[in-house]
Amino acid sequence: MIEERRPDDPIRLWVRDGPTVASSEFVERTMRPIPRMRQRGSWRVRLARIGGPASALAGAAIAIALVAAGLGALTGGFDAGSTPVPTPDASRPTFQLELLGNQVGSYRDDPAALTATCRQASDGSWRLLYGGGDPYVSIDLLVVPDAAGGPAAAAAEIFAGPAYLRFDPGLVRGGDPAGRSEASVDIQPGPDATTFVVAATTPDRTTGVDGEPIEVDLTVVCPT
Amino acid sequence: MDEDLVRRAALGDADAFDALGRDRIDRLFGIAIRILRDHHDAEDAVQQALWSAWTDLPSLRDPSRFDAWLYRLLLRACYGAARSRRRRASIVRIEPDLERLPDRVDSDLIADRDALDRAFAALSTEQRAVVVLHHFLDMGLDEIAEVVGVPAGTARSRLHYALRRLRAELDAANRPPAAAAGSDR
Repeated sequence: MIEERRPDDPIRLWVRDGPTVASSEFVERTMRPIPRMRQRGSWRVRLARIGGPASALAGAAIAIALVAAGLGALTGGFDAGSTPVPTPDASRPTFQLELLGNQVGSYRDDPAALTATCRQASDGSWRLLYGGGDPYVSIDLLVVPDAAGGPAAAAAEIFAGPAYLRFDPGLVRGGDPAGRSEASVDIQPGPDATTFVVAATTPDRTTGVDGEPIEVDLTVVCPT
Repeated sequence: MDEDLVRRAALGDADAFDALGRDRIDRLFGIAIRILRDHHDAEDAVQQALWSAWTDLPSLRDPSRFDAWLYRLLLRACYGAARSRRRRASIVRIEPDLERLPDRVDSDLIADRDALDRAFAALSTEQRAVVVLHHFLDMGLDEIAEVVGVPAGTARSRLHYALRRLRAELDAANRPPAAAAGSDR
């Protein structure tokens, strides 16, 4: 049965009633940051851009990187570092986390979470600690603004629903084997908060060994 | 023309994506606020969908499917928002657009709105989504199925169940008091 859509159907009128225009402030808040966000090229697109014989080289490099990642998973541990005790007066951060790949999911902070702190250390690094929500999400994120004089680096350990991920390509917390993961972080200072937009690709560690690559989008707002 | 913008945006042209996003953001907001019935959650979902669209656009194979793909990202964001707020808030009512209300605003009309608000709140987010796509965007079942990512039969049954529930609530609200009192629901 195809549903009938009479123009005078009260359900149809009720659905169509209400706001149809987003505020200009919201439009700007949404569209302005986009040029600063890094796009994630798929392997397919990257290979197409490289083209020709180079594709084979790139494919080989990817294969080697994946093997190296697997070996690294077998031989290397992950130094999660010490866990600082959250201070009662810490500002409460918010986050949005999206996972794509075998572990698809969207997660946001729960205002009732028992652990939610974000602090800047004297060396300039930032650390987010969060645990709570349903499904349960645990995030331990370290952002170093200018790691080794280069671009900002991010390392994280994340439990989100069934997924478990960790990445540290910038070697700020013990490091990943070369090629295991990629991560970039865009730091956006503001008058009331600093926003971190993290884009990463890292193997799925849910089963305890490195699996298929998972794409991670994490936006954290830390009140200042 | 839009397909050209999509191709350029997929290659990193932020201006092209800006044009695509600004052209669609009102429609995305209209969908999200009708599904989520909350202004802030709707804004968050739209923002998440557009940011995901930009970052993941290089993985879109067919530029002509951009809108369907964008709607799917929005629905995914709406589902996530609904899950995260399930424990903290109930559905809120969207106030009617006073400019578009008919001259006759009587108690029946208010009762209808209240009944629909209640019935809609009881639907799952997935059911609300198909109702909104069908009645707000005038999508057919095949199109809804593609956007939602389910077989056409599933989209049909979701829509059928949701509309049946909304109509039942509407009928109950319009039933004379004596008849309503005599019926067990």
